Amino acid sequence: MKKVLVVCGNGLGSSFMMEIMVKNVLAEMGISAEIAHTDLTTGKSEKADIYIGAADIVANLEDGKRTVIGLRNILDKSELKTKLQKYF
Amino acid sequence: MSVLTVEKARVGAFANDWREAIRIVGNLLVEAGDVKQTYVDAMINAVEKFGPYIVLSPGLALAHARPQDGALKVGLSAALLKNPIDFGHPDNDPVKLVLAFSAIDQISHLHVLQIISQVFSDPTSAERIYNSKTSKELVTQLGFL
Repeated sequence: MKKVLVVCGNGLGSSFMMEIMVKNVLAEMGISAEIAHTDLTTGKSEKADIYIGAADIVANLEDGKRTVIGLRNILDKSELKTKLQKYF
Repeated sequence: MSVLTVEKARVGAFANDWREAIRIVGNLLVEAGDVKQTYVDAMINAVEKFGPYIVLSPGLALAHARPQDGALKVGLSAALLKNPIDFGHPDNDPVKLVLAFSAIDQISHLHVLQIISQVFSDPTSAERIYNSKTSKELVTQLGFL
């Protein structure tokens, strides 16, 4: 099972909102995954298969090895679905 | 008592820039006794530190800081701006509505965020919110009345 980590600045606002969206979208796609949310600092040291967050935040996680999905409109379900489909 | 009341919602608020806009919603939380003044400064500092990622979707900014920055209870305030303002977000500017929330732990504010993400993930309901004419209408459209 893949682990998806949703990341935001403080780890208690938008990351939670995105986590709900990710859960809903993956459920619609019929995929089960481990989903969690955290702040940027913790996200840098936590291992996951896919990192998701607002584009300007997750840009900090790009290291050439991680799989990172940056969202422009974090409340747009169709953007999220299109981007997730590439990895599942 | 609801986390967002009519007293904590403003329609037609005027701000010169994003810092002022955050101060307006922040002060609504201070007046309601939800946060200390330090929390308002921390919300501004968070944008300076992490960038305008609090602009979640077109027209919407959700300002917040951490519980330890001076939050006293779970609270939410809203300011619908007279003049939309740029926060420097590449896709979702200009901001029409600024919300501020205070969290006291990792969990107790989550129902508030759930309501917000639900109403703003539907562009039609977002548009209805942005067109609110009174504080009462704004609170109602946001789903708190």
